[in-house]
Amino acid sequence: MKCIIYISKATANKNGASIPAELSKIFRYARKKNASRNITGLLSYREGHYIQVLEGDTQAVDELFSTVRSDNRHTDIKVILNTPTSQRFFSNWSMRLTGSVARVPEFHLLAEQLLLGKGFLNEQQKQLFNIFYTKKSTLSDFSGSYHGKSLSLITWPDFTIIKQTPIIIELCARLINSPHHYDELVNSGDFGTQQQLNKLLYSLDKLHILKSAEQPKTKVIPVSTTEKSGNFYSKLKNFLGLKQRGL
Amino acid sequence: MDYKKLAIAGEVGSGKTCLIRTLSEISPIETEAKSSIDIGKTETTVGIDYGRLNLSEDTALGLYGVPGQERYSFLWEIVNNSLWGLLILIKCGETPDYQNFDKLLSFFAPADKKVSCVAAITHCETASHDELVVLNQEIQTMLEQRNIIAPIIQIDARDRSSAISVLHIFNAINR
Repeated sequence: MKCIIYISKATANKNGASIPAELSKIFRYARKKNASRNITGLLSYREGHYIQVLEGDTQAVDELFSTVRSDNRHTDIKVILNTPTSQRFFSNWSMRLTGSVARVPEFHLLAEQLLLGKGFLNEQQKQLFNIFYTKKSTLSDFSGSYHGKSLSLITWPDFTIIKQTPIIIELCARLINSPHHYDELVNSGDFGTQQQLNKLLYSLDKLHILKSAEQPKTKVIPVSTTEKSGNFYSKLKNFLGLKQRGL
Repeated sequence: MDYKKLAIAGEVGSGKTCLIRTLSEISPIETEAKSSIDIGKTETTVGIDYGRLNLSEDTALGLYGVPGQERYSFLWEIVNNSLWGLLILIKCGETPDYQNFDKLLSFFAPADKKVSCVAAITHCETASHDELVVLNQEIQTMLEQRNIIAPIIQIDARDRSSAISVLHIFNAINR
């Protein structure tokens, strides 16, 4: 078995903009082909670059990579890792697609074991790799409690992973707009019981988009938000029937 | 009269007209014309579709459906002033024209203008999970390139509760 990781540049369009217009085609093709060859791995796109991990039988991976090299949808292919391995990191995925490798626990494991050690990557490889992954990407440990923490979201969750419900949308909208104290979220009662709120927060934490910091001494914006253009929002709320639900 | 404008932009067949029909409380003003090419339906929007949602006697939300193609950017100009929200519809099952999509994002520039933005995938009732994942990823990348932090949701433009859920999201973001 072996593992190859490469980073390449997405072919720019006529205007010079890097748009991953071929991503869906690459992904669909890779899933189908990889499954038939028992190859597993990951594909991600960021800032005009693709990163792909291929793992499986040595001959199958080499043959696939040879095909990948000649694909004109990307250029400047730089191999970051090409090594024999005895384990698969993405055994459940014929090709996992992710917007951020930092949100994939299996990728953290791979990086720790095969890429981040001293002397594993040269300077050029490190620079490329840093497009996708830096030490800051390391997973923060979930302590099991959000008490005393100020919480915010770095981006919206992927609703193909977690269920799109009004309550999770409300929570996300709040945490995207500004940091909120956990205890205030609990006390607001807007998100059910403390246990229900914890469950929602944990689902966001697992996607690595929830930022938690020690509660600052200075007060952050309280949960009971003031309404912008109050009249309009108040009436929209009434229309949507949210007032009765306390949202 | 407290009046706000929600722009609904999207490619041919993404469900703009349908969504406005579903939400509007007045008979929508539609600009559908017979399509000269095969787009999977007989009619397509050639101008702005307009609908309105009355929130009270003196408060209303205007719904403006505009084509996503750059050749209709003169229509974008018309609705872009004092926008309350931008809803971008993307049809599942077809790779969107990302050149156009990027031009749309660049024109409306919701991040710079601090306009709330939501991306909604339509026609996804029969889509596989993988299809949605990959489309989600592509849309996310397009938004990130323009520094837009926006939810990517799935809706059924024909269904009133699904259509109303879009307003829930704008309400949650804007509160």
